[in-house]
Amino acid sequence: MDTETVLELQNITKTFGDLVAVGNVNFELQVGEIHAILGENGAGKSTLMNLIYGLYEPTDGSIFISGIKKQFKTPRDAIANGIGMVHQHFMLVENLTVAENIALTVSQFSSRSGAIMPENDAESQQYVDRNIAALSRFRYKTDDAVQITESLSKHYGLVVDPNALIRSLSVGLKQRVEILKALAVDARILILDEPTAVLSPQEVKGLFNILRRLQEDNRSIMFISHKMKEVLEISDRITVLRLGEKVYNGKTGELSARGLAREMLGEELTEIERIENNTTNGLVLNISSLTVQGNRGEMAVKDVSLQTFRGEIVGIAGVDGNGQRELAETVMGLRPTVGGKVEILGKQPIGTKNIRQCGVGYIPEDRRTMGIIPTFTIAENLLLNVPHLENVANWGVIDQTIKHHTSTELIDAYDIRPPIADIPTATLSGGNQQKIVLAREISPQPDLLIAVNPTRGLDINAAQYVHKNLLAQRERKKSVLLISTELDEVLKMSDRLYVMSRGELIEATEHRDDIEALGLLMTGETDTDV
Amino acid sequence: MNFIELFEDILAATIRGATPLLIAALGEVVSQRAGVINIGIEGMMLIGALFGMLGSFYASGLPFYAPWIGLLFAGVSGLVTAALFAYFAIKLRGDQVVIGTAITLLALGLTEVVYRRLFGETGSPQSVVNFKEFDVPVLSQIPLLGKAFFSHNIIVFIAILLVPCVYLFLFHTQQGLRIRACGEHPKAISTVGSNVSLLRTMCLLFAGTMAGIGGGYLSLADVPYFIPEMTAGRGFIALAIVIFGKWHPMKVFGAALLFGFGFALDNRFQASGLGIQYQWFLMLPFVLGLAVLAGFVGRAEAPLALGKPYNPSE
Amino acid sequence: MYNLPASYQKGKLYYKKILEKYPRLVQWVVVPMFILSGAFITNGLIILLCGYNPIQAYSAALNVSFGSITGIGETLVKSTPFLMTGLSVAIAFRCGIWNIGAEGQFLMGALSATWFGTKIATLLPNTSWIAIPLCLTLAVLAGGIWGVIPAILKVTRGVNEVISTIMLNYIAIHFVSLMIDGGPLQEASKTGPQSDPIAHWVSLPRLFDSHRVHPGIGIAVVLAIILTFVLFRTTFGYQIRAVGEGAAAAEAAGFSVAHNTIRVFCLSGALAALGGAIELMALTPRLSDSFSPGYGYTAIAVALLAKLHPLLTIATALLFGALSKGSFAMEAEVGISKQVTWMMQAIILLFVIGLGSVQIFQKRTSK
Repeated sequence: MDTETVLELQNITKTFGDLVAVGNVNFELQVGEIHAILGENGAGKSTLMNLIYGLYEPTDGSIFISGIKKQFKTPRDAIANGIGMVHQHFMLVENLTVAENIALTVSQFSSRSGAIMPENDAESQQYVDRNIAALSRFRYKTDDAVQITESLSKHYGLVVDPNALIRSLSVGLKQRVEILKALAVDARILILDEPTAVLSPQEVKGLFNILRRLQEDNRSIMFISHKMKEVLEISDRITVLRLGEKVYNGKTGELSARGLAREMLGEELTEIERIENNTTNGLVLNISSLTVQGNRGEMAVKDVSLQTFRGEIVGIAGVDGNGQRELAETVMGLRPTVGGKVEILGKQPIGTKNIRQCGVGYIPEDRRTMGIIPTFTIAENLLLNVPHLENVANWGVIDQTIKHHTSTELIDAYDIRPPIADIPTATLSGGNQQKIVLAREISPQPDLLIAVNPTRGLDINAAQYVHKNLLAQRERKKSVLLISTELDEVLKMSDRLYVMSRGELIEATEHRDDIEALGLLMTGETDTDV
Repeated sequence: MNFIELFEDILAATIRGATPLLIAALGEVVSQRAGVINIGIEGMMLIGALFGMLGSFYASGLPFYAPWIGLLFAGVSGLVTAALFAYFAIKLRGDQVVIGTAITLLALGLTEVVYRRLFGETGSPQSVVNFKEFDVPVLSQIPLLGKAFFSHNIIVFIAILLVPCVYLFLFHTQQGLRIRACGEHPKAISTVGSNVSLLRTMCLLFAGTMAGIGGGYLSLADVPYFIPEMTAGRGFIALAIVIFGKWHPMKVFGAALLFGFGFALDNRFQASGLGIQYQWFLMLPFVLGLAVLAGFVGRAEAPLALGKPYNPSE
Repeated sequence: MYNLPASYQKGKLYYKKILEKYPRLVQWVVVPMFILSGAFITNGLIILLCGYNPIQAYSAALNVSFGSITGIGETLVKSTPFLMTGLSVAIAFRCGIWNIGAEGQFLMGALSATWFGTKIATLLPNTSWIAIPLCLTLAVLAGGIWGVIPAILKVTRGVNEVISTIMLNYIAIHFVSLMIDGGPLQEASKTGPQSDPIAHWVSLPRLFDSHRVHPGIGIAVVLAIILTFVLFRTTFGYQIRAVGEGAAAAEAAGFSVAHNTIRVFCLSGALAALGGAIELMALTPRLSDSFSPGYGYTAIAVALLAKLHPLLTIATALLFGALSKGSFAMEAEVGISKQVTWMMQAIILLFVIGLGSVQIFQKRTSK
């Protein structure tokens, strides 16, 4: 293989105050290589990428592009040097069309886009050049933007409708637009930040095909992930980061998955034990033909029926944005129903307050906006639901002794760090913030616990802690509804398995060993055009 | 006064009343499209009104140029005020509602202090050279509509001409596309190399200039003098117009005419002596504003990042 | 809580040292003092630019506000409407409600008191013990209703409360004018734009002969203490703060954002209106066009400078009361328009923003 180095990092360091996010990292990227960066959440992967992309400036060390030392002050500098990035949270303007989003990028870099078609495709090259020249002038013409988008997507085989509004696209298609955006300015180095986190197995396959095609085009790819399996499948080389430092670098296949995991964690991971139990009786949640509207008036949940029983974890897998969020919010009374009903322990409570008083706990998907209030203290966040608040109050007055007592007890029991009740929660790590949510939602031992993506953004140890607590609920003969986009998590945790796709719920317990079939269910069978 | 005269009269007054609102609202459309909500628009108009009058006053030796110099003063004073807003809202990332309120308070105090200092507490306000109405040849002779549409001062025509200009700028230029994207998802354009802070500052400066000119219209065209607090809430009406016009220049024009009509009715009926208390008509534009916001707009789709300070390192 | 922006980096180290040692001292004393002195200096420079002598102006103001017992009494009297409207704004902002409508609510309170004092009180037995509580209750109701309008518009129609409350302020101003200038509440002689004086048994008594100190001041201070307790020690206050600082999390916890918005808007309106009624019943027996010099807008500065803390609002209201009293002296002795107080308030607000204290509460994220 070609060994020409396109990107080199020498002793790159980035500190935030006292925290060393990236420490003394050396790194080389070859032309035409897919190089995976593996690491846990908080290992410094994102910081490293943001340094390369000019979003941060390094505290120390230097960056070389094709052997020449460069300094990136803004993303503009990085793009001008042929670096493109596909962000985990897409940098697309939802209310503009695909073509407009592409035009936003192209118009900034008209000087570079001449090289947009590196191959001997003279005719299309001319065509694109002409259009780009038209675009980069003062005027914005929709037709030009559409034509550029079309010729780009044709050239790279990334089919997407240029006139579609971004918000109407599926996650997979949005990602495709992100890749097109980078290619529109002829990125030679493509950084993908957790690109598979939001994709279905089929879409992941499609993405990998695209990446291989780009690789053949002699483009270099940095693939950031915490998913071992995918890294082993796609990459040529692997670099492992742990706590901001490079701990391993080698060819893919040199180390087994187990070995890589050890490098990532610095220790052996002990699998949690899961006791099989089959005594599921007692209906807890009974959803029948539920239909719910989404934020944009579309039917987000269509005619869904679901029952959960005591002593089981029911898992719902699916790609983000297929109605899972709406389903959970409806059960919690945060969203009105259009049709159907939700029964909890035989009752039909109305409003979140009453639903919670029925004995329902809720771990919402968006921890920082729905799970906790960052400006509140730990003690205050531990009171953040109706039953808890009523427990510590007499006639509407909060009893300070009981409040203090409860919070110290919970901080102790759930090992929340630092164990200080009256500091603002914003200063805690994600894992500790999630422990606050767990402590609050699980400690009353609710009959029904709804957990939506409970481990998103957590490191492996914190994720295991969450899983342990969910299993504990199951052993207490309570019912747990686990909704997650991490297929592995749902497979590992749940007794019964469903897949949610385009608002419909499909029973999938019998397919639990067949990833292929599950993937098809998740994509709704049709969207497999790659 | 016969019916036709009344009709012409009210129509003409509608357009005249709409003009300052339209000018200010067009500027506000641009700044809100970029994601900055400028509640200080009332204060910027007030400052524009004072400095417009001052410009014309000090240039009274050149009677032909005086109102134009006044308008220049108005625009520049609005721009400077907007720069102050931009420093706090964009550089220091303060809350835009609070900054807007502060700017309006500042203008209320400053204009009064300065005016009192310069002209003392005289019985009648100091009058200056203003823009005169003129009849557009031929067109103003059209029956029924001619007088209403083509017998105005020059600013009215400029304001109407600005509507398609702002429209074309926002929807048919690269920069306009960038501004619209900036109000929706600033980080997205930042990651492809645009400077969000600079873009927002520019839009805000444009909005301030327009608000200043809109205020200048009041003291240079509407009446030939300045009185303290003469904007009387027009800036806030302009804000309502932007929402009612769904952040679109053409629709904003329509909304401005509707409110201009409210002000026109106010003036006509106050003069008509129908025995209705005049305060009802003073209230009218504001009641109309509330009704419009509540009834017709409902949950209008504002730019997603409107009013949210942008922090590039987050 | 106070995050100094980059422009203050130089002093940061020193500041950090003090902050670590005496966090409360910095938060509650040093920073407010810094804001105030900065604002006074900036304002002084502008006054100087306008051609006045700022030192002369300030000393005139200080002298009249704090120079004598009568002066201090008068400062207390002037502070009361600032305190009431300041509390109104503070409680609303705490709940994430941008109520800019204290001015209108204040006026509606005064208007209802005028109506009661001139039309209804004469029908009742002539005893203060019945009339005064009734009058205050009526004002609370009027303000509550005036405050509920934008709340309902917001909750049901999604109308931004900043704009709706500003509109309602103008409507209230013109409505008051409608009533007292040609309307049913104009004085019987129909000479000027003002009402008749309210019946003397509706007036709040003076506590001393020498100056105008009245029991309304006590009511306001007690309310500030009660509100502090409510905000930090009760479930209602907890909900207010939760909704204000994290609307989505509050909703998920089972606290209704809509209900709290309506309740707090109502409370906020009632507080401002009560302020208006007290002002009318204690000081000016007549309602006139110039009844409020913009208390409701100043209230925003009062509340923000107090960091939305009801107890601290007492201190900032006193400051603004003294400023307001002082501005008359500045006008009389130095010739500066008394509207200079507007400028002063604006500069204080800008300093507060400059020092980042406004960022302590987040705007609610709409779903």
